[in-house]
Amino acid sequence: MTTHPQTTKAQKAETQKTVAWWQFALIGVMIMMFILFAAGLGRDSKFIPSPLIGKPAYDFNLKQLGAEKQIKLSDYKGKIVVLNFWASWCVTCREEHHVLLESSKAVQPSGKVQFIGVNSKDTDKAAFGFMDKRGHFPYPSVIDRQGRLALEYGVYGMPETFFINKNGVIAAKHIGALTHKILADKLKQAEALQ
Amino acid sequence: MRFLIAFVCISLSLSLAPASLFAAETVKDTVSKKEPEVKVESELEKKLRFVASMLRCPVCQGESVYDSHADVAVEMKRLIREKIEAGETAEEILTYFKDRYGNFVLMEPPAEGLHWVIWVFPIFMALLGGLFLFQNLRTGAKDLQQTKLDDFDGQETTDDNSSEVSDIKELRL
Repeated sequence: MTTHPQTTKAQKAETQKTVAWWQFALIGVMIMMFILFAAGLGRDSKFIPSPLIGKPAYDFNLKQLGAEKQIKLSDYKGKIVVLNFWASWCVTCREEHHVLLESSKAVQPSGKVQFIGVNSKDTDKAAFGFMDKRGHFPYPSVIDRQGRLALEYGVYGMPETFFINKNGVIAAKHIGALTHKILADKLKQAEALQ
Repeated sequence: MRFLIAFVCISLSLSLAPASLFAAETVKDTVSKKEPEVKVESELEKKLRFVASMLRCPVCQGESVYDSHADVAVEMKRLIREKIEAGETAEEILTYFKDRYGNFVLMEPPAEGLHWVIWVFPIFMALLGGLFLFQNLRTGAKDLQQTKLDDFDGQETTDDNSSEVSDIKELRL
């Protein structure tokens, strides 16, 4: 049937070679995508790196909850500050409440660490109702009625906790309920950061 | 009879004409009455919409701050309005949020660092697909041409053992 067997064979070989090249490229891209998806699956989708880590913490001066007193962050320079955003309406805050009570009682007497609460987008009445039921914090909280301080700290949702080192630099941040282990780890990070 | 029908038609159209004119007028009236009710978007609102549409609501999935009714988004809009009133530019406001929330807060992540991949990848894939298609079509066309040539040659050659050709040859003889 064919009169130019050599030419056709050469052409076929050429075609096969080209197809092989494209197939390799496509398979390569598919493998790349698979690896990317696999890596994405293993990651915590809620984890969003904060650009504030390693930056000086915003120095607020706000009224203390339940007291006629202003609280200024820079007054606590020289101490590690655990800044915890909470609200009475926040369900996850109930989960971490006992951790905050226990660890602050254990760590604060050393004088190296100061806990400060930020009662965000809440009312004094609801906030006190929350503490009356679950236990009062052995440290002060400031009132962030409109949630402006939360915006200033790039807070996504409550609870969120910032660990500020003794020079006023944000060393670490935790989104969600704290556990004793997380708190200890983050405190170590804040201590290590100069 | 024809005259009567024509008369009825003309008189009907004439009697309806003012009605249609009136109808047009009433439509016009309602339009003109409604006009003052249409809210004219102020410059501030325009700017707010522009900035808030470029920011992602931190607690919602894929919704802009402008579209979201979440508490955080509402507060963000309030802050944006205050910043616009204070004379800040859109870029300054976007930078403010980017510095606190990271690139995540922007609806369109900038093409920097690893982010360029998501911008370049679709173009790369489209190019790859296009080239693949082009290559396949070209080789396909070549093959078709070659097959046609082969068929043509096959009919012409005498020493071909295809049954069709031999049949013709037999007929000729």
